[in-house]
Amino acid sequence: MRKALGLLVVFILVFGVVASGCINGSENASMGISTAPSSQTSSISAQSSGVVLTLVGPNGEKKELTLDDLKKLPQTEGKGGLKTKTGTIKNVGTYRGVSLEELVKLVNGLSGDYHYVITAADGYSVSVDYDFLQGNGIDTMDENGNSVSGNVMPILAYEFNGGPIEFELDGEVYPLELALVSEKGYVTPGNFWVKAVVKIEVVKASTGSSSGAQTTGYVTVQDFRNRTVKVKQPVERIVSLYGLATQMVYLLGDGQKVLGSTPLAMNDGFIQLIDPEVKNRMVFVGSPKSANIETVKELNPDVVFTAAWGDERLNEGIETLGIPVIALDLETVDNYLKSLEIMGKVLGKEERAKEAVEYYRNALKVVTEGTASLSEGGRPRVLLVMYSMKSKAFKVPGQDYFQNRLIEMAGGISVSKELPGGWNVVNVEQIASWDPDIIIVVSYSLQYPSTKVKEDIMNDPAWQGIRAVKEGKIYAMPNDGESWDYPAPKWILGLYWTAKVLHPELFSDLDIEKEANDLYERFYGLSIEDVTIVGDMP
Amino acid sequence: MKRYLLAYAVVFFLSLFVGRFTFSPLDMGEIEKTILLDVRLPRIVAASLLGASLSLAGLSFQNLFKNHLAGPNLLGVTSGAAFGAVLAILIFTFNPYLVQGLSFLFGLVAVLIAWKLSRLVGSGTVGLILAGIAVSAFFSALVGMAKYLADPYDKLPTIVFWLLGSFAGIRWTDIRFFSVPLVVSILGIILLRWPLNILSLGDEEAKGLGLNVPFYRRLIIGLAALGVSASTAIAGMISWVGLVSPHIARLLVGHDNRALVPASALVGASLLLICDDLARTLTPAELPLGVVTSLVGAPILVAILARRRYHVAR
Repeated sequence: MRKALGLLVVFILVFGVVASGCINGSENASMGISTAPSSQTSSISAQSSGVVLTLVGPNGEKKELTLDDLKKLPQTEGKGGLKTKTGTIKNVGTYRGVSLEELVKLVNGLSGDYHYVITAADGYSVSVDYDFLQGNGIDTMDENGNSVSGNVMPILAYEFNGGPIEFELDGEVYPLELALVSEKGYVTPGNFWVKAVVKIEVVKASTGSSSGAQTTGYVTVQDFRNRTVKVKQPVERIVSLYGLATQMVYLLGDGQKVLGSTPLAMNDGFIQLIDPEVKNRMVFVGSPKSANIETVKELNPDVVFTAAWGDERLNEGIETLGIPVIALDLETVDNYLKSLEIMGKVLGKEERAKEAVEYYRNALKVVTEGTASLSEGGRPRVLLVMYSMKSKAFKVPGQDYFQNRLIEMAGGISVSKELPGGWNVVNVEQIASWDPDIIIVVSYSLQYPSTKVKEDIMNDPAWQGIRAVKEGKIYAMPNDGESWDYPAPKWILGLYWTAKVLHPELFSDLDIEKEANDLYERFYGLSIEDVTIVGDMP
Repeated sequence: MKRYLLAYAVVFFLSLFVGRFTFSPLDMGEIEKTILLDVRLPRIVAASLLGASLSLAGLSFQNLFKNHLAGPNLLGVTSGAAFGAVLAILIFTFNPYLVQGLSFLFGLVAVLIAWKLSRLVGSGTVGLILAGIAVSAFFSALVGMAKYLADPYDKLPTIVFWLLGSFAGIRWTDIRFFSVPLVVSILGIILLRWPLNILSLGDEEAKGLGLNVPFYRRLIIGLAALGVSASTAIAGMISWVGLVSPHIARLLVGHDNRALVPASALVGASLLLICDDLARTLTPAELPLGVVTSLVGAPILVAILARRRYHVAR
């Protein structure tokens, strides 16, 4: 017996070692190019006679250059350095090379009508415009990373501090790097410093694309863990461990690409309306704190969305499998909009994300400008309650929860905002002692909607003495499959609605149904008739 | 015994006048009256009944199984009831009556399964305890599974809230039905306190004294299960009270079940009432009842243990 146990222990240990070995192995394999240009004087003679750069002109004309060809062109030398997304400043020194301007001249590509796609040996590419070639529109910083104004010149450098630049990838050595240099040695954002450049292509600028640098092939974003994450384009398969993020993917129109998510999204009545297949397609993968990594891997996603409050060990586990993980925070207004931009970039829907952010900002402006002039006394005391599903017990949002912000933005004072954390159970005595001016009822289930909860409250003798109930100032928050009070895409309608409930005189010309219709039409291609909304309409 | 009854009466009376909503008992308006009679009173009655019932269930099991660590969940009643509630929350979503009903039913089913299983395992109390542990573990696992699968925004918080135990929102309608099994359980065990004394001697001795052991054992387990199922159906899982109250009572009145049974009931009722008073008044948000019962119960037990040692030493 003891022997068998011993064998088992040995087996487990061996298995553990082998398994961890596998993970480490894949980590090494996924490492790309070495990160610093080396200034060693080791020979790169193999490259100096071979072709190191391909230029493609606007009409398809191709020009291949060797390192010697490059050295014959007008040279630019200057100082520079880069700042990584995590804030480290590195590779500061003197670079020597040929300016991008000189290079594209060779293929008659110097014009404001063109974009330039700079491709690296590993397939990563950046697209820049004419302004960039002139050194315009690039953030410059001093050696401590503080913003200063200044001019830099983009060059294709082959020399760093007097030694050759070399990047090794799959046994080959690449001698070119995109560097931003100046006399003063300004530091510039690291995402422009493309390593191991092999090709510059001149293309006609596509209409409506954003200015500055825009990436194709890969996009790089900074997520809410402050990590720079590179995601291969296009994204076709998505796993979202964060239910709110799934709802946002649908807002951006890519919901059908989500293959794995959480029950929040899978049971979301609104998602079921716009994507009837959701329950058959989506697999339950867990949560940001406890997802099944193997299930995630099996779905073979191009990207995984998780929450900033998720388990970092889990994120790292997924990353070792070569799947990029992007942590989002959708639980405050600012971070919601920031996350929307990040997600737009990752999904290649920057335009749509921009439109959505603009839409949200406009709506926020309408409401906050309307309520800005309110005096302290003009702000009603509001209580938001959620039915706990345990007979007659109610929950109210504590300080961490979004609902308090919603009430504040709409010009009210949330009486429960001092309570700790998230949902708190309160009894009717506490509600009587708060004695709020207005009560808002929410429910996350259409099987027991907020209107029904409101009815229960109004019929409960214990609530009769409470002023808001006596005066009939109790309102059921609309729910269209997603309640409008939490940071799902509809919170903006919730904000409109709350503002109108709290201040009907200020927002008399605000038509909630029209706004809802507008949102449905704009982002989901639906009209309000297609959607069942349960709740009070002020 | 009169002393303990008086102590409970004082706790009961004081409980009526503590709460988040403060008012003078001499000057009561409409809302004050509603709060007193429709909010506080049913809650106090419920806490008393549940405290007494859980304490008696604990005491019965401690006697039957001659195990001082036995609590109301020994035969898996609480776990079964919890699973019943969770099942109702998952499937039927919002129907508080169904949640309570299914919870009550599954509590009894769990005990029945444990009873039947003990026949497979072998007769005797040890077999029953082991079967109870297995049933309890099984239902706990099912609850864990349900929690894992539940919608985190909608159903999971409900389940967690339900499992933590709370008297928030208890009204007359909630206790109208379940007061019947609770009262039956409490009165039944009080009436059976004499056979309980004999059973606590062990099966052989009890048989020798002419007691129909299997009948009384079944009867007492049934009564205890009835009370615990009803308690869990009303207020969720309440820990500690059922385990510790009989010990406190034992230290107060000794081991004779004729005095111990009513004393346990009163101690359990008072203890749970005090805990619930704290849970509903200390902070604006209700504290989880299970946390309060443990925080309050543990020092009381230690204090009484220390006092008894003092008496013995003298």
